[in-house]
Amino acid sequence: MNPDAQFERDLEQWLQSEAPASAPAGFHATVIDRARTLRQRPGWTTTPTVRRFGRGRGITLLAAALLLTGGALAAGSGLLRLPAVIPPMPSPSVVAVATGSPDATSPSPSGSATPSASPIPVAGPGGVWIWTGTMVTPGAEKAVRLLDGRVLVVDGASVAGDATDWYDPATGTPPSAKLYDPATGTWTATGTWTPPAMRIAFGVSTATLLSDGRVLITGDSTELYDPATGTWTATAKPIGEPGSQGTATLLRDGKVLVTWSGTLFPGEGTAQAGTAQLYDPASGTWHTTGKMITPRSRPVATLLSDGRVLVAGGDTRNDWTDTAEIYDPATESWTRIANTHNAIGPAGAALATQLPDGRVQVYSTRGSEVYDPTTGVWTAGPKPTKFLPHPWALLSDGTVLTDDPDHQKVTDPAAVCTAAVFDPRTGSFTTTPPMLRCGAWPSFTPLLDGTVLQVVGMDCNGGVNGGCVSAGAAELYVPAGVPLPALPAFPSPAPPVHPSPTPVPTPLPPADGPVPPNARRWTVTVDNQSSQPATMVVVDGTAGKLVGSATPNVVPAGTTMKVTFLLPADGGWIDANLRPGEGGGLLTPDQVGIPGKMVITPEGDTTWVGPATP
Amino acid sequence: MQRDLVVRAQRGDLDAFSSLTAGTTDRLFGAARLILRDDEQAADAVQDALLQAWLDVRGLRDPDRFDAWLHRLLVRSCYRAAKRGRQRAVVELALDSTLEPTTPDPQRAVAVRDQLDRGFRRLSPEQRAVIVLRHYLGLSLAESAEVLAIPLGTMQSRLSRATQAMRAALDADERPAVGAVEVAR
Repeated sequence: MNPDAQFERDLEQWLQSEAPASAPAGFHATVIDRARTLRQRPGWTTTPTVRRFGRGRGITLLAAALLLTGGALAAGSGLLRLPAVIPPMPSPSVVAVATGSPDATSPSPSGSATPSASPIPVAGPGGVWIWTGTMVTPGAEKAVRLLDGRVLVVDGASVAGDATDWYDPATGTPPSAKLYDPATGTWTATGTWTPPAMRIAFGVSTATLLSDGRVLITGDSTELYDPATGTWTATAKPIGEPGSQGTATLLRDGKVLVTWSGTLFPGEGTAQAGTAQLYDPASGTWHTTGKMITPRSRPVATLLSDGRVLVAGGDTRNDWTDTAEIYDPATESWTRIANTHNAIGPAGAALATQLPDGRVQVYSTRGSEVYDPTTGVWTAGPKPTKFLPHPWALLSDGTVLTDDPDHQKVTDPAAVCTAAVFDPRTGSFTTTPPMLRCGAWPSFTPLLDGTVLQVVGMDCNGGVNGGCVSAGAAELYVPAGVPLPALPAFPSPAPPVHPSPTPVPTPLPPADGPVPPNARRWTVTVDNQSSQPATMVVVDGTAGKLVGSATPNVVPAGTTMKVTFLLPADGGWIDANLRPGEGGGLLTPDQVGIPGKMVITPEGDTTWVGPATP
Repeated sequence: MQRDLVVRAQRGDLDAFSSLTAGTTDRLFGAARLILRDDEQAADAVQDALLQAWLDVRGLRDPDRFDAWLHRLLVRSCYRAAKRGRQRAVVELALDSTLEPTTPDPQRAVAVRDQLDRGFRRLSPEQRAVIVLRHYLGLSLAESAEVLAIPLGTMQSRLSRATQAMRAALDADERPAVGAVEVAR
């Protein structure tokens, strides 16, 4: 055997023996459970149905070509990044009832009261979503209700695109903070803090309301916010680089117990998982306070009535865990307690609330259970009939508002986003009317009047450079029977603007120049019959990166012109952006060169005119 | 069958996605482990790739290319993980090589394994990825090129360079050396 062949054989044998035979036990199941918490991004559908373009639509040359026969014209889109047709908004479910006291903590059942001369409108069955003011700056990573009922919403620093994990003030987005006033439904900016440059951007890991009314945030930076003055003050950093998935619990003595995720999962810091630290607002200092017995990421943590802290579930390396432990501030020690009956998912997929009698109710996909601190016993309760996703908010009647668990089963989740009300007594879910705005990573914050503030952190529909942009929409959920807040009618906020990809340098030279060996040139007619200019870009269909060029790259409104594309030899996606970051169509290598033309109709539909591909 | 699962996953069926990926996870983990040389980073990378696949599967136009696409996501996850894993390790080179490449088995096998291990560690994650795709996952050059989103010719040259780099490392390893060299993990 010649040396090269021998080397390859040795190499292959070594690779096979060197690689582990299998992933860690339970690994795949853990990933699937985590996937269950994620809402799929809308994209190209696989059915080549004729579909009117809505916002964020595009052309699919393949689908279009298959639909067409010689010279026929068809609306060709298999893509739907946002609903093609926005579903009609249901009429708000509102019932006018008389109530002597619109006490949100004891809402009048809809329809159960006798109308009077001065009816107070309350939400009907299922509740209702209403617009409130739009945030003054987009982005909402954490929300905290202050002692006076206002809500502080903070958004951490973010890096530019996904090219780097490091925050650079020159290219990244700085953090922001804003206050929501439920009395007026309006927002005001309330300063910000300066994150350290050139370190991993964790955003905001925890945000905790302190006993004195201030708010402690950790993450990119460690800061105290004082609502009385509207100012931010840097305080001592935690020990080490704790990561992004901590839990923070306010203790009776005013200190904050923070557990850190450590390095269990990507981007979650370099501290060892299971590390716990105490923050003392009085001295502004941190100190390590023992290590959890079972290292875990994002457990549920709840203050018990005796001042101790129950920590249960969460992610361990291989799976959700059924272990639980209690932290005692008096001794600064952790004690293992009985295991739960079912593994408890990580925070976001599980939640814990304290019952009036001091017991703790924990909900997770695999079951609900009640922990009694006096006996140390877990008692299994009804299992939720569906997965319990995040976010969640405890309503005044003991039910829980959550994101709709059925999203994962909806063919086009972008079309309608609903929430659901989970009843822990029965394990059942009741779907709410559709939210007014779909978005990724929303947060729910219960307000003092019984309503819930929802802010949408990100909008991930469309956008060729990373997909998601910060969003600023905010709306209120008024649960059934809760009086509608006396707010002015707020208009629907404008959809977030996705960054235009055109300023990004393209890796290929201008399309009308020499053709590099790794590229192909294709000239087609683009007829823009719409009233907006169309930006033509070539992107990688998987990563959304610019991989080619178009000359000219803008087709003005009402103009027909030849556009020359320079595409990678192995194909690319042609996007026709009527608005920045929207639209798109896949072009595979065997489709380069097919005759025809693109037409962007007055309605914004993008169509393909030409014969079918061979 | 696989195409059907992909289509169902694109419609939001997580069970289908689970079935689709259950059989490949071990192999993905093996590939990631080889590229990253670290169990934790490999687990992170595979998880990242699978979650990315679930999030973006609707954007996959051709269900038949799911495997290649998933491999592409994995390789990119590995690159990101390698970038995050900024720790650098110091490896002592042998002061006096005793390897005898021509020694018959089993000593030769042991020596070769040791050489390959050390040589492989010195490759960059990008170079390891090329070798893993071709020689561990058994993809053809064209398939590997598709995974890496590079032209076939580029793939050929990258594989050639990676192989040469590894052989050069092995050759260097056979020479007595003193000191330490910093290698990227």
